[in-house]
Amino acid sequence: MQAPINKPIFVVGSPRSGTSILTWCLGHHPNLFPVPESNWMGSFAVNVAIAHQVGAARGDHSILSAMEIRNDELFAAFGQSINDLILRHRKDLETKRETRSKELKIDGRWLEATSTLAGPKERWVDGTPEYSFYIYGLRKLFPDALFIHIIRDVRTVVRSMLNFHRVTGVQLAPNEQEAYSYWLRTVSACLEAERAYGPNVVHRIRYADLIDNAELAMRSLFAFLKEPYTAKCLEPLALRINSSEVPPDFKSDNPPTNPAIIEEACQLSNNIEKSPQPSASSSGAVAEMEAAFEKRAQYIATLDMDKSRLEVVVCSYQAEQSRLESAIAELQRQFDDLSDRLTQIPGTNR
Amino acid sequence: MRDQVTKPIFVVGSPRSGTTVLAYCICQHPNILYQEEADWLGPFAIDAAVNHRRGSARGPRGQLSAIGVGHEEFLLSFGQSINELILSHRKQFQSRRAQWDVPPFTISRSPEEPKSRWVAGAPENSFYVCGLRKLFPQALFIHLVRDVKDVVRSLLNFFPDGRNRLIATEQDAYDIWLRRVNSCLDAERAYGPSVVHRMRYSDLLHQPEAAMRSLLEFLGEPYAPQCLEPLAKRINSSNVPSNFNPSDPATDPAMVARADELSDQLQNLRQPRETSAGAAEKLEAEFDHLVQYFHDLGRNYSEAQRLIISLQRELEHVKASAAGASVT
Repeated sequence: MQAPINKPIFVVGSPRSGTSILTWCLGHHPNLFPVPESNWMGSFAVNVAIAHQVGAARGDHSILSAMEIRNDELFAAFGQSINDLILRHRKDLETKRETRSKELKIDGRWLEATSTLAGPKERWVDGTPEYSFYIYGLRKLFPDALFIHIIRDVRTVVRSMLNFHRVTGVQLAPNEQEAYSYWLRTVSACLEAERAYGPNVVHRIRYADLIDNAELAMRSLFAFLKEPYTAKCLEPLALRINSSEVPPDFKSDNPPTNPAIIEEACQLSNNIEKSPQPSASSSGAVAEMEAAFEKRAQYIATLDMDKSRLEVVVCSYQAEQSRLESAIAELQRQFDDLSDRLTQIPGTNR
Repeated sequence: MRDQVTKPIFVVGSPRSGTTVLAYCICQHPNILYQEEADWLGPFAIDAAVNHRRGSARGPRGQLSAIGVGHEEFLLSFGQSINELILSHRKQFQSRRAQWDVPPFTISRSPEEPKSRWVAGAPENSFYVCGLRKLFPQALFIHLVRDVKDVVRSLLNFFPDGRNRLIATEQDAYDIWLRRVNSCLDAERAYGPSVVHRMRYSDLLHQPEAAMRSLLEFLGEPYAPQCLEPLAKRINSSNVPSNFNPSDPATDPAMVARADELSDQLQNLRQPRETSAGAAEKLEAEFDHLVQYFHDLGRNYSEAQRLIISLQRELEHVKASAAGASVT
């Protein structure tokens, strides 16, 4: 039996940049199907890195190094397992979507277009914005994965983030400063991935182009994905989904935002609008991403130990606080005692 | 590839109970491949379960819950990947081991040996039987048990790197034995003798053939006399001096009494024949507790950091009040 195709597609970028609608558009292609947003594969990749470190820590006396099971091999084997699981459960996803289409607010035509009846659907599309921070780890799990970085003007994104909770009850950012900061972090992470892997792995698309030049943008996207163009993928754009319905007169009443953050974000947003993505990959940027990933793995690997250390610190502070409070109470008692005695001395008037 | 047998064997128990030598013995069987200490698998099972919880947290909107992947299937699929990786690296392992000056045992006697299963002897796996069964539902476990006094003497005289003692105190040694043996006994009760097979170290030494026949029967493999060969060598020994007296006045006598009593029972009583649903639930609850702990760890860590900052502030405030009270 031929191994199933393992070439997932991740739509990354800041939340409220069109990641969901683009995922649904792609899911209308006969060879692609959209999976719900996930938030576990990034942390899973970090866990695999830790597992390999432990399993290879003692050289010839550790199972993974003794068997020459390399880090890349372990990652790819687990990525293959995830891919197999997702492909195997395509039908279950369809059934669940059909039975809960009202609750999930999924249009009937979309269900039809994303069903396996519409084509072989051999690749899946995941539009989790949080994965902007985990592109390195996802590439380890899925070495043939492709990434689409969708980018939208920061001011529009911030307005949308701040209004999202009114419509959905989900708070994406507690205030304007956090919204700017989150946009900056996700977009910067995606730009680093663009530099690291080049346009054969990460494809940048502007939200404005998706709306204003939809066919052109989608043709370019399918050329990148190496799938034939189909006009059906434009259909979801006709519907407004997942909108945060920003009122035209919306003005943030948040506490004042640091102007330096706004300036930095607006400048980056303007630059991206004007300049194309880098045309080559950079081994230096890959090394930086690798170092950041390993640092994160190290952080997570020692978190349990560090938490125990923090708990010891908390206990010592609490003990110190309680000792000082007792000392204060004792001083107060002595003071009251002295005051009482003074009042009892004849001729003392206090 | 998915048709491969996924029936690994784990030798568990306290360190210095013969887990290494027993794994060497078992891997002499033509159908069983040796594995170095696989101590990453237990924590990995917990991490995988944590990620399954994350992927199912949003009900119908969570990815794994939406596509209907339960946690059993999720962990099982990674277990199958691990099994395939290990079995497919047999050649690399053999050629790497061939470079050793004095190989402690034969990896394979001929390329025709099927070696379709593997054995790993890692005492730390005593704590992870429940999670390992989630990765490998058909795994079998051998609980090797040795008299606690011998184990304590051996632990206190074992210098893995030739310089540093593995265990600092007698109390620590007793604690190590008690915790691992109790975990294995929980697993015996939970899964019964068709999944966990108890074996006495003394039987391995004094009645090796009978012990090995019984063990291979449990594993569902035909008897192979070559499995006794590694017992002729002294492997991984801790060289306890004949006049060594481990007795340390700082050791808690109640703990020693508890360990001695349990050790005597294990030498004299047979393992229970039945499984206990209550014991299985207890192990499942412990596994879930660990999964929840690691699921919440990042958040709790940040909360602890915030608490420290607020306590530091409060402490400064209290100190200032104390200074004020002293002046008064």
